[in-house]
Amino acid sequence: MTTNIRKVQFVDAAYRTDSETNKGLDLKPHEACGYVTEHGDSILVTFIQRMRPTSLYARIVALILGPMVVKGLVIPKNALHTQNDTPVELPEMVEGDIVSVTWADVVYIANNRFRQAHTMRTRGVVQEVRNNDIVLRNPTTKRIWPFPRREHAHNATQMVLPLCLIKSIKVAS
Amino acid sequence: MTSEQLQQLQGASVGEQVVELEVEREGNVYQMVGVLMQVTEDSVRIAFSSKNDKVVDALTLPAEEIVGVRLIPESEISQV
Repeated sequence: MTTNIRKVQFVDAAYRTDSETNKGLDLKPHEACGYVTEHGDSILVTFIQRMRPTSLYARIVALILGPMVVKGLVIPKNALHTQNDTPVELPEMVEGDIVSVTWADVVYIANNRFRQAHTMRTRGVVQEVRNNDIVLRNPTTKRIWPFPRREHAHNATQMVLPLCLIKSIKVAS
Repeated sequence: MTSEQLQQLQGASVGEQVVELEVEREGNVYQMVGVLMQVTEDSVRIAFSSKNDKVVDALTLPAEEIVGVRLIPESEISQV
């Protein structure tokens, strides 16, 4: 594990609600700056951290349960601009198909311990498949990992998912 | 924040310079890093993240809570 101050550029899913009809459906580039540590398939960008705990007990807890983050982001490595050039293999699908997409989300954390990036599942109607993303109409999204399962972006009418964040896509028969 | 630290921040390039601050609040000391956005005698504002070049997450810190300042040279920052 390495710790560095880095600038990170990444992509994230986006969605539009009924009240945001003027909002574009193009993915915007994100940038963050912080202390970066690598954890498996994700990186943790810490913006604010408490100074290193002095007690042995606190250090052992941090080692076992993960670092406590006052404010930061967990970003799947595939979302990084340098690593998103191997998109998932897409099944045959056309506009109007109903699909179920499993994808990794960028997670904001505050006063919590590090956890891997969340895995989400979105069911929706294919509106458009583009070079780097897929647009779904009427999406319903649930966080499927970690538990508890939870609804996400429940008022979204359209959702744009970057292909690099997608783990699998199934077309409903 | 000492007058030397204030001068150091005032000489830095707003919107570009990455800074590391040590902040003491309620007995706890925090370390944070971000892009310097604004410096006054009373406060310092730093940004943590942006979307489409617009800041989406930033924090304004009272000068009296800032106990350490370090301007991070560009050579120390790697791009991911």
